[in-house]
Amino acid sequence: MRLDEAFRAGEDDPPSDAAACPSVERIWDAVHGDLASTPMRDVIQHLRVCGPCAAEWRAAMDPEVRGAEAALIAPWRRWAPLAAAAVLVVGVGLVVVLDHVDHVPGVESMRATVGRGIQSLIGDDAVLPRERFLLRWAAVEEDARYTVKVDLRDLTPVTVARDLHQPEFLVSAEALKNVPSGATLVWRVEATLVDGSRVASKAFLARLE
Amino acid sequence: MTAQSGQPSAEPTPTALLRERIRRDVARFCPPWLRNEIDDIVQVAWMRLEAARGKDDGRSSPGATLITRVAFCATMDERRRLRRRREVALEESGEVVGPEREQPSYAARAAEIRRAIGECLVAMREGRSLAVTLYLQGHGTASAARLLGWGAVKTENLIYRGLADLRRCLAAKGVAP
Repeated sequence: MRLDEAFRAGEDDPPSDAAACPSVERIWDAVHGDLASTPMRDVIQHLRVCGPCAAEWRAAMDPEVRGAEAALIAPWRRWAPLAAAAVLVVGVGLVVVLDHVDHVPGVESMRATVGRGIQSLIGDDAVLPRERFLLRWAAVEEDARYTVKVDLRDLTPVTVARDLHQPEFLVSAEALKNVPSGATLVWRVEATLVDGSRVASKAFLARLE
Repeated sequence: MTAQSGQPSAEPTPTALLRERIRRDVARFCPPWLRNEIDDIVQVAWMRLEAARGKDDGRSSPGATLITRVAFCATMDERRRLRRRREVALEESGEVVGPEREQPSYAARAAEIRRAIGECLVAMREGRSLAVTLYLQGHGTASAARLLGWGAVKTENLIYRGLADLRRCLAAKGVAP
């Protein structure tokens, strides 16, 4: 259950304090920006604890605006069916292309949704120097946070980096000290988007020079 | 042949058009379980609209915004009234849809999570709380910024930080949506 879905699930709950509920006229005016700052805040604060009023607020939102806002919040949601199909296709592709990775336990954890996709910017044939093993990928969205896992091909962990703000990660020479030159490493990225959803990349390959 | 008296006119009158417009708006706001009350709600909305127009002796045509506002308010007032009087058995209503929602455990869990989210929002810093509340209601950054009178960058930042606070708070409560 998503956060917004959970938040909206309370419309059938009785108000905790019905006397505190703003009038429906006030809710309408708030939704349409026709209230001054203080009463506007009062109404919004009430929504936090009152499912029925929150439901009335949503009902008052202009459908066209609501649709446009939904697009602003999560444009990929409109393409969910296509994304699901893409996940299926990519999943099948991964089985074929990364057969050597697929049968190893543990890889599933990083193969979540490939919804929007995360693209490597260094290519799968990259050969990177030990002193500058820089992994880069295309940003998913401005405020996304990334987790990167780097493993050997047999999925022996090499390093993990979490909460990265930038779409790149420099694997330290220290982390690579036990990795022989010429070895191929498997790296995967998982992005946490501003709405809490996650997007995982496919597994990329990079060879240590 | 002259016009026959007593025959219904092919052209709807302005009043009929107006009532039809109100009915459409009421139907738009009406939850499934309230549909049986549409006629009454339309009548209430009509009277409110007439009262509003009476202020200028009904000389001007009501604007679309006024009609929609009146329809919304009449519908939601009736919704509140019926809820208060418990005249509807919500569990039998068509408002509950989807196989997952038919399970009582789903409703109980949803209610628990909703309460926890509310508590976390109340405990949060005000700016973040306001921004996240609007976000959870379906507003994007631009719309939330407009309603709160803030810049888009500030609003987006508050939404982001607020969501992080919310997740931490829910995790501390042991609640996982």
